[in-house]
Amino acid sequence: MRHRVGKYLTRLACFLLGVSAIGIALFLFVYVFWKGRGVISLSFLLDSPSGVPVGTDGGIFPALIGSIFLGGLSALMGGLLGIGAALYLAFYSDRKWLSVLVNTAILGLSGIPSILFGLVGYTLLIYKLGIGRSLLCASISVAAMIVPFVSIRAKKIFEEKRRGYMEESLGLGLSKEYTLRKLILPHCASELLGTVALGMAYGMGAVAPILYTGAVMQADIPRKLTDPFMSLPYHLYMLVNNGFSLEYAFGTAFVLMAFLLLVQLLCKGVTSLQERKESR
Amino acid sequence: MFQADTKWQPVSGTPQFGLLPAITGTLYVSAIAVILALIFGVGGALFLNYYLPDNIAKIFLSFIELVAGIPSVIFGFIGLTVVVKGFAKIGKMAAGQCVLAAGIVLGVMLLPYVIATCSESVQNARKTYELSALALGLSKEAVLLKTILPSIRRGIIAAAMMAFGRGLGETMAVMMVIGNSPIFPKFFGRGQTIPALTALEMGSIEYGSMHLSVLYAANAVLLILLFVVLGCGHMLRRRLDKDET
Amino acid sequence: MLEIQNLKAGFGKKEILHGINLAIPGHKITAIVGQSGCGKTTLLKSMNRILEEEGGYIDGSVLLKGADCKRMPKEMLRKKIGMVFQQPTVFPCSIEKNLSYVLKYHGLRDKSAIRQEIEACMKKAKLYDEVKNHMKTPAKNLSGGQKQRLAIARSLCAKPDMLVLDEPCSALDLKNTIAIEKTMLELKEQYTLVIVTHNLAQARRIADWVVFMDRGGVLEVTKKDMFFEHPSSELAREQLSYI
Repeated sequence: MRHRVGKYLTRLACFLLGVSAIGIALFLFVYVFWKGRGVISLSFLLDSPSGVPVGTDGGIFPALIGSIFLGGLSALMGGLLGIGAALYLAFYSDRKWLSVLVNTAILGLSGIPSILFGLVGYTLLIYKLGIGRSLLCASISVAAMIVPFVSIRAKKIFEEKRRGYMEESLGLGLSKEYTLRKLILPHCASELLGTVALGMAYGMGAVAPILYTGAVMQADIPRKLTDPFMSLPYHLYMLVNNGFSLEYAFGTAFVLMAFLLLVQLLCKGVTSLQERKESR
Repeated sequence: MFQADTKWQPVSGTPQFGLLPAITGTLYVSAIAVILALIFGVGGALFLNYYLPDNIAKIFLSFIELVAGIPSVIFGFIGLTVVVKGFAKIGKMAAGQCVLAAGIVLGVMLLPYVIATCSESVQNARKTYELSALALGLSKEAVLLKTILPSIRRGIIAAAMMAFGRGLGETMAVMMVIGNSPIFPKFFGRGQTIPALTALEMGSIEYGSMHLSVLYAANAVLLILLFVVLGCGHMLRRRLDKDET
Repeated sequence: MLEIQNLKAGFGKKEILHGINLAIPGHKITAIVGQSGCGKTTLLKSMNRILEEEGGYIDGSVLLKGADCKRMPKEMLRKKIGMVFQQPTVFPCSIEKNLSYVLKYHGLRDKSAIRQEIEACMKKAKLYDEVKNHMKTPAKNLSGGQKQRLAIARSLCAKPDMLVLDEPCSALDLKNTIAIEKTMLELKEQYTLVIVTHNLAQARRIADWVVFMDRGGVLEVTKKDMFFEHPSSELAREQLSYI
């Protein structure tokens, strides 16, 4: 009897916890999309913010473009650096102390809170170098945050699948560089691109590193690297925090989440397609 | 800086920089979050990998993985409009912003990570133990409680430490719901964490001032904490991976 | 052909080969035999210095046709000493690309020349007839034995003087093993072959010379018949008594 009660209690607990975990996840998406749907229109997407205080009317176009600029720039910088580090660790780590150093640096960087990238970027770039709040400073801060994200995943890609190819190719008398260029990089290209895109999505969603390094409440679409810019998550934060307009905040959250979701689903699709191609 | 009776009054006539409230607040919020995330995460992982068919579990798992991609500002926003509002309604608190609210929001953020890592452990443990345990005539639930759970205990601890480390550094979501008062944290009272403090105050600080140095010192404390927690978690994970191969 | 003098090799502080002296004759098949862990593969991998890529070290001199291997660029050395690994690894592209990849590196650009060369190498490796109609299909669809022969053909593309094979048949069934052995016997007309094997019967079937190793040293270097009929070392006698 006691056994049976315990059995059903365990089962019940698992079911309850599991269903609520899934329920919470579902709720997050449904809530934002449901509440935000009313504001979404073409003019919301394509107009500049207006109204007093600013953001209570008009649209979010500059923020959307600003976020895309920020994402692109930091993905470019962070992606290149991250993949470079992964390449070094996977294929060139002949000096032991250096590879241990690089590896530790990347692991350490991955544990640093996002606000610290903002703080250091702010004091170093804005104060020490005097660049001024700009797209450039924000991108550098975000790029530093993306580096470990990309690097750890890229290293995994290189190590899991391609180590054997390198040895085989060297055994044939081909150089490392030729092997990387002609065999390994082309073969990993789509996966690497997916990783960088995920890193970009991660960087685009972050507010902490751009808080004082470049994002502002109102700006035009940046034309130079040294222009300040608007960003979706920052815009959302300002709307909420200053209590300007909850309605428009939901709209902004809708757009931000939809955009990031799209990027993630695309990456997932590409990866699973690649996997299917390989297992065939 | 670390005495209990020094307050955080950076801009008064005689500035005081007591960091202890923020440090305890950071630990407090993270601890609540990790406990919540572990309860729901381990339960969820067991449910997904034990009671659901594999293909459905896979769909749910990748869905939950998507949650990990939601930016923290949106978590903060939802926390503000749902959790904080809810507290304000039930508890008749002035605004509903409190340490518990921050813990709940942060717990939801950590949930996908805990579920993902625990699922992996559960799957491995099932492969190793389930058939031989079932063959002894134990019920499915008995296997779960007596064999699977104990065998993934260390994996859960590792996941908890990594999650705790992530929680310590979380900025935006916590900052939006915790109330940001530099007082000693109480369960239903306002509080302050180091990342939130940094995010709030760094914009208004003069370069080279004492205030900025103290902020850096606070973050140094945070980094040391992170280094210890994540380092231990990482080492535990590595040991586990080695055991499995 | 290849002369090894006082070769010491290993990883870090762990020395695996303790001073090996050995001469490998040209246009013959030399089989390196011995128990697992005796350093056969390490010896093979120090010949073309692939050991260094795995983090090992090589001391002593290896002379290929009188030229010091240490002074040669690694790529040049490995082009001359082609290597076939135990586990056949094919590159993730078509059969044709697996070979043209090597040819292009060595400077062949002309398309028809590449095709001719591929055909010649595949014929030498006895693979051509089986796959000539689907050269563009992914190489990973080949069977284990075919993959191993593709690996041999790929090594031949680099126009080596020598071919070293590390347990090329250990993952194959009897039929494929025989096919590979036949291939090797034909190849020795043009190339010098060194094969590592733990299978004494295989050494008896195809080798001309036998190198018997134990615990990082060479115990015997003799002609095959000599080794199988009158082994000089106690250990070899004991092991031969089992077959």
